[in-house]
Formats: sequence, structure tokens, C-alpha cells
Amino acid sequence: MKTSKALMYTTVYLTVTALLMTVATGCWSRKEIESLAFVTAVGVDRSPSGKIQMTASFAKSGALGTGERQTSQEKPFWVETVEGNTMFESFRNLSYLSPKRPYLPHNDIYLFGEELLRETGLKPFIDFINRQPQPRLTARMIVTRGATARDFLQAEFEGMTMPSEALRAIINNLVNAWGTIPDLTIREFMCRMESEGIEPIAMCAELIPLEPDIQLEGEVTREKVKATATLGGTAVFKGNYLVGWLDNFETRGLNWILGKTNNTVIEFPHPGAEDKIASVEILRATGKFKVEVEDDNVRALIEVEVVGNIGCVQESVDFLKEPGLWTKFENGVKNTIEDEIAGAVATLQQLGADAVGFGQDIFRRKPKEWARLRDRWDEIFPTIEADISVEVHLRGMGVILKSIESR
Amino acid sequence: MIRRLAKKMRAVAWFGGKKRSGNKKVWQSGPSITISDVLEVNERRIRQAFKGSFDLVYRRIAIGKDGCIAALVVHIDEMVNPQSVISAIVERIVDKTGSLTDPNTAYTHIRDRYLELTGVTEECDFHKMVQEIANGNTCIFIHGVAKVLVCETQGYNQREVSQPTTEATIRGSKEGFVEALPTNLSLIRRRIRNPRLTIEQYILGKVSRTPVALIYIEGIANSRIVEEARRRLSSVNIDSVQESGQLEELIEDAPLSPFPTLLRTERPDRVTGNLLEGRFAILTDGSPFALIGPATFTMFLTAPEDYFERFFAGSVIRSLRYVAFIISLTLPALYVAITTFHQELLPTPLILSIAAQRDRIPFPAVVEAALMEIAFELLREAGIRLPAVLGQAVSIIGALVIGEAALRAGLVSAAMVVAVALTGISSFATPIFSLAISIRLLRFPLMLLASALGLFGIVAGLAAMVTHLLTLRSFGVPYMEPLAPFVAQSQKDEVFRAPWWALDERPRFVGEQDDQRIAPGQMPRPPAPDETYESDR
Repeated sequence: MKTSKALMYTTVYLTVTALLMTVATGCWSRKEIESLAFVTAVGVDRSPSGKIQMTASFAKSGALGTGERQTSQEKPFWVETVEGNTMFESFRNLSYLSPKRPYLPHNDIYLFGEELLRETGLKPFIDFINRQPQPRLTARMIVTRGATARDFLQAEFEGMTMPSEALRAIINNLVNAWGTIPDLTIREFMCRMESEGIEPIAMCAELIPLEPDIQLEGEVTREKVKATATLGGTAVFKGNYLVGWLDNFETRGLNWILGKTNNTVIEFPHPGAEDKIASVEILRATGKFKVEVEDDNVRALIEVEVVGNIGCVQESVDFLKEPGLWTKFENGVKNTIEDEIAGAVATLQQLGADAVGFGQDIFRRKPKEWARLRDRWDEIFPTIEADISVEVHLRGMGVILKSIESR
Repeated sequence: MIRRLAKKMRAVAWFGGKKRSGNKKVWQSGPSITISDVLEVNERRIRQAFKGSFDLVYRRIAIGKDGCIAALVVHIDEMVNPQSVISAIVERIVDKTGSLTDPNTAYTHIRDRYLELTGVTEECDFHKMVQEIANGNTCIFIHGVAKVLVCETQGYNQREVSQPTTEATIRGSKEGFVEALPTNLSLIRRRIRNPRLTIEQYILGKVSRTPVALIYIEGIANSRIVEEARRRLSSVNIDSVQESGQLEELIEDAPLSPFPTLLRTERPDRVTGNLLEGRFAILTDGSPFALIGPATFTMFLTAPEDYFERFFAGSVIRSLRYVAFIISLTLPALYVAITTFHQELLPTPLILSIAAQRDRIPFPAVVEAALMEIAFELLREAGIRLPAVLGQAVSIIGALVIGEAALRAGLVSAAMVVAVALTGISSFATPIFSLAISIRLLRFPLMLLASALGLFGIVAGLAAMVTHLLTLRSFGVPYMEPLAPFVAQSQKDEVFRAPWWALDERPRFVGEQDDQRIAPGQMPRPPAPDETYESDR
């Protein structure tokens, strides 16, 4: 009886002490939700003074038209630009301008200015994203071609008012309907950076100035020239530095090889009529490659298989009357895809950046050969011969059998 | 400071555990007295015993040939059925004994032949006789006979058997217990017409002398558990038992735990269902709530309907109830933790929306949550207490003030209102009120932990709670059985309920004696194609 009482006292003391302790700590990492400024996009450039210039786009939670509040005409975001020596300092410097505490976990877009990446390289910035707990590795990385990231974050979009939301939506569109953008997260980017025999790539975006409604007078500033942005294409890195670009179709070529193109549209000269164009919708595609090494002679075997439907033709066709036409269409698709793949490989070879991962394939399957070739890979890669084989299966011709004929 | 606290704690414990010597003499019956053969002596003694209470009826009648034998009929006016006293006793014995002259003969004749009542017993002990009068029975004294006839004439107003108010079901019996023990026993007997249904009576309460029934099924119930129940009931020493809740606190296993270790129900079908699993039930006169033991945690999340609806529906509804249990325990704490510590957990649009709502709220999330929870508890408590006619007023005020006005006034955010409403609704989904109360109590410490430590605090709190649950036992049966200790066979009837034709065994621990519940192989099937029929075609 006595022991059980003693036990009870001990339990009570411990409970009381534990409860007091939880309160006494003062909740050190506590941050009320309304005291946070949610960063939805971060842009990084080089400032004129050579430091890092960080631009953050914050969500203005009150103006989002959520809950009971009416949708307001107010812009739902605001943008702040600060400078600093490191990413970390710059991010902290945002506190000078933002009354709420900048909060990164909800950010899923990192924009980097072209100039910065060509000259400084990416390492100093990637370290911050990788090391700190707040940034998410599932965020997307975009390189702004021919513009600063800061300008980008001012771009306006119709339909979706938040630039970060709009950019994400456009990325999704391109991945699902075109395949003209590399679909990868920051984590995958970092994997490519660290891996043997493969170079990192990132998404590419361009700014499109909108035509001004009024005649511009005086100093022409960003605020006066409104702009919107478009995405598409690939930023190619070599190690740490940005070395060049793949355009939309080269990017699709790369995606064919990597098997990352899904639904897309292919246009090619109409096999049945001169100066006319036919287009085919690709429904699904598989792509793989294999690299063969013979001494210093390296060959890449690229195999792509696609399934598609007729999308649209500029000149009427009747496949039932002309049986050979179907094969001609398939060949048209085949040639286009082959051209795109060859174009992508050629551009990469020209840039000297093995973004496909030919080297990685050797490293994985023939490590000894890789050990031999590794140091000379920069010389060997541009000489690789690509052996491209594309198999096309056209399946359907839409919901009609025969085009409408004009009399 | 801690030492002083310890002293105080000891003082409190001493106060609670102190044995107080009450005025025992009043409740002792004193030396046993036999009944006198003189009517006047008996009447005087009875008047003395009842301290001259005005509601006792002393009816002198003259029976026998020409009324030569004097008799006395004593009962309490409002405790008996007047019909049976007048017609079945007074009229009968006056009519029938007209030829008798010897009091002893008259006595035996009345006892054996004349009374038409079901219960007639003989009593020689005065104190026992007095108790019988207090129970509502009628005593017949005959001058010259030192014995008394006790006739069962209990009859008093009682509520009719009606729908249970706290445990409603859609499918299943609509009968609920009432306050009168015999009626309640009849509700159980009617459902299990088997001589092995054993009902033991206990008279508890030194002052109230309340009949309490211990019910089990001999041959199914574990005899050691029943023995333990007997032991605990016999050791109850209290002045009065007004409600089974008092009894519950005196015989339960974990008096200091927030979790109930006896199941309390208003439904006869729940009682019989549990009796058939091998548990026992305790019914108290004056209380429509039966106690069922040994109780395990999962029983509190079970509703009779689970067994009456088809098993798909039964299983889904029951698993929904488990979800509701978790929601009602943790949702406010989760809200607090996520909005103050883990803003990265929610999708961006949702977190922005919550942030927008919280923008103008002057309080930290935990205060906001506590405010709303307290308001809700107040509303609920008021809803139970207030007269039914005012119910509408309170619900209007509640809905408007809590739901709308607080929101518009910027005291709380809409997300919080949703969270509190969900919590409230979920807690109503707990079928047994006593568990719902414990959850309500535990929600607040969890909220506090969440506000101080975030999800880590919630996990710590839940871990402590689970540890505590694992230490509990009810009449020797582990409280978390069959989850821990894990009993694979019993999983058929836990979160999901298997169809009846698969529920072949009674639960382990309580129903081990006769563990076959339903004969195997009873899954209904369409008849096999008939050979002759096939050949006919």
C-alpha cells in the first residue's frame, strides 16, 4: 500500500514537472501562421555591385480571395529585392523589407538569371537550398534566358494571378502536352550534378514584353513596359556553369531519348500534297539508349517507339483509297523525330555537355571502360555517333474516316 | 517548494483515504428480536422502528368465526399495490376464515390456502420483517401467533419502458432500461430464456438498502471473473446507492484513470450481447444504466447496430467511428500544431487561406482553439441542463454566436470553427458517453502540448496516453485486448466486423469456457444445380 502511494506521488510530481517544463520552454520555435510571409518564388541575379541580388515573390494572403473575402483587384503578391554576399544573408536581408517573417517551405520555384550562372556558377546557391531545412527539394529550377530573374518575377499572367502558380501551371502544360521542357526537380538537378558522366539541365524561360497601350514617354522602366513570360527549352550546364541552350524541339529530342515525352504534337510535310503540313498527336512514347564502346570508338544506340493518332491535315486525305499513305505518314513522323533527336545530340556535342548521360550509361554498365575514358570524355563525347531508330505506330485517324472535300 | 507540495499531496491523500467512523449504531439492527404473539406489542415496536411515520397503514381486522381472531395488516401506503392488499389479502382472509376459531389453524390456512399472491413467506425475526415492510411488502400478524406472513405486494409508479435516450439506434431493439429493477431483469430474461442466466442479488447501501443484481451466464462467463465481481460487490460499504455510477467508482479497476473500465449502457440488447460474450452485468435498482465488465477499450466504440446491419455497412460505420474517435481527440491539437509550428505541412493554397483568416485574429492559435472549445463545451453543457422549451433559443444563440458572430467579429478564424465543429460532431459519434467525456478531457492537455511543442508534443502526449491504456486492466482482462495483447482471432470483430457466419468464436479471456458461438460452415449459398432438373431439360 505504502509503495503504491509513493509511486503515485512520484507520478504526480513527474507529471506536474513535465507539464510545467513544456510551458516554461516558451515555445522557442513557435511561429504563428499570420506572422509569416509565404515566399512563392525566389529569383537570384548578380547585382551591379557584384553581390547576390535576391528577389522574392510573397503571397499576399489577404488578397487571394479565399474564405469569405471578396476577390479584390489588388495584386495578390508583392516582390522585394535585396542584396547580400551569400544566399543565406540575402534571405535574411528580406527581413529588412518584409514586416512578416519570410518563410520558404512553400516556395516551389527558383529562378536564376542567365548572366549569373554563366559567370558565377551554381554551387554557391545550390548549397543553401541543399543545406537549409526550409527550402524544398521538390521545387523547380528555371533559368531566365536573356533577362534577369527579377524582371521575371514582375511578369503578369492572365488566369492565374500569382506568377509562381502560373509558372507551375505552364510547366505542367508543357510536360503533359508538348514535352518541350525538361521535367526535373532541384533534387534531380543535384543528382545530375554529382553523378558521373551526366550533366545537369534546367528549365528555360523567356520574357515577352507586352505591347504598351500608350506611347511611352520619358525613362523606359520595367513598370511601364509590362511583360509576360513563356517557358520552354533547356538550359544546359557543364558542371557548375551554364553553357548553352536547347530550343524547344531539341529539348523534345532530348526527352525522346530519355523516354520523358508523353503526349505531344508532331508536324511534318504532308506526304500527299506539296507545301502542306500534316500533324500527328503522339499518345505515348518509350525511349531508351545504350552506349557501345570499342576502343575509343563510342556509339550510342537510341531506340524510340511512339504511338499516335492523326491530329490534323492541311490537305484532304483518304487513307482507305490510298493504302500506302498510312506508311508515308508514319515515315513522316519517324523522320521528324529522328531529326529532333539528331539535333539535340548535335547541339549537346557542340556545347560539349553530356546532358543525355551517355557517359553515365558506360559508367553503370562498363565501369572499367569508363575508368579508361573518363578523363578524355570531353574529347570523346563530341565524336559519339548516334544510331537512331524510331518506330512509329499510327493508330487512329480521329473521329472521321475521310476529310471533307470541297467541290 | 517541492517538499511543501509533497506535504500537501500527502494531506490530500490522507483526506481521501481516511477511514471515518460514522455513527454506526443507527444502522445496526441491534440484538435480534423475535416477533411477539401480541398484536399491540408488534404494532408498538413497528411504530417505534418507523419513528411514527405517517404513511404506514395499520389495519386491524377481525377474522375467524364471528371475528374472534384479531389480525393486523401492516404496510407502507404508497409502496404497495392497493388492489392486491385490499382484495387479495383483506377481503380474502376475512371471507375465507369465517369458520375458524384457532389462531394457529387460521395462520396456516391463510399461509397455505387462502392467499392468492405469488410471494408469501414466513418471518420470525422482527428486524427482517421491518425491512420487508420498508421494501413495500405487506405483513399479516395474527393475535396468538408469534410469526408473521410477509406478502409480496410491491407496487409503485414506474416509468414505462421507452426508447433509450443516450444510445439511439436505427436498427435494433427500441427498448431501454427503466429505473425499476424487476422490469429491467424482465427485459434481459426475455432475451435469454435459459436457466443458466444467473441473477444474484446484493443489497447495497447501509441506509438505502438498494437491490443490485449481478447477472452472468453460467457456463459462458469466466468463473474467476464472476468471482472477482462478487468479491468487489460484497466489499462495497456505502450509505446509499442511487445510481450505478456510484457503484462504478467503487468497483472499477482504475479509479484514477480518465478512461472508464466498466461499460455503462441503457440498452438491454447490449447487455445481453455482452452476457453472451461471457461478460457480466450489474443492474442497480433506481438506475436505468447497467454496468458491464470486464470492459475493453474497443467495446466503447461499438454500437449495437454494428451487429444488426449487414456486415459491410456495420464494418464501414464502425471504422468511421474509430476515425471519429481520433478526430475528436486530436483535431484541435493538430490545428494548433500546424498553424504554429508546421506551416509546411499543408498545401500552399490552404495554408494561404488559413493565414488570410488568421490575419486579423488577435490571439495565438492555442488561445483561439481553447476559446472555441470552451464555448462549445459550454453550449453542450447548457444544452443538456436547460429546460427543453429553451432548447431552440440556445441552439440559435449557439449557432449564431459561435458560428457567425465570432467569425465576423474577428475573434476566431473560419478554419477554427470548422475544426471545432468537426471535433464536436466526431465526439458525438462515440457511442458510449463515458468515453466521450474522457476524450473531451484529454483534448485540452493535448492542445496545450501542441501549442508548446508542436507535433512532437502531440506524439508525446499520445504516447503517454497509449502507455497508460496498456497498463489498464478491467477485472483482469487487458484493457486494450485484442489489440495489445494482439489476438488474431478477435480481429474479426474489432475495427471491422466479419459477417455473422464467420464470427464463430467468443472473445478470448472472457468467453473461453465455451468459445464456440456459431456453428461453422453457415455461409449461405444458392442451392447447387439439381441433377434431375438438369436432366429433365
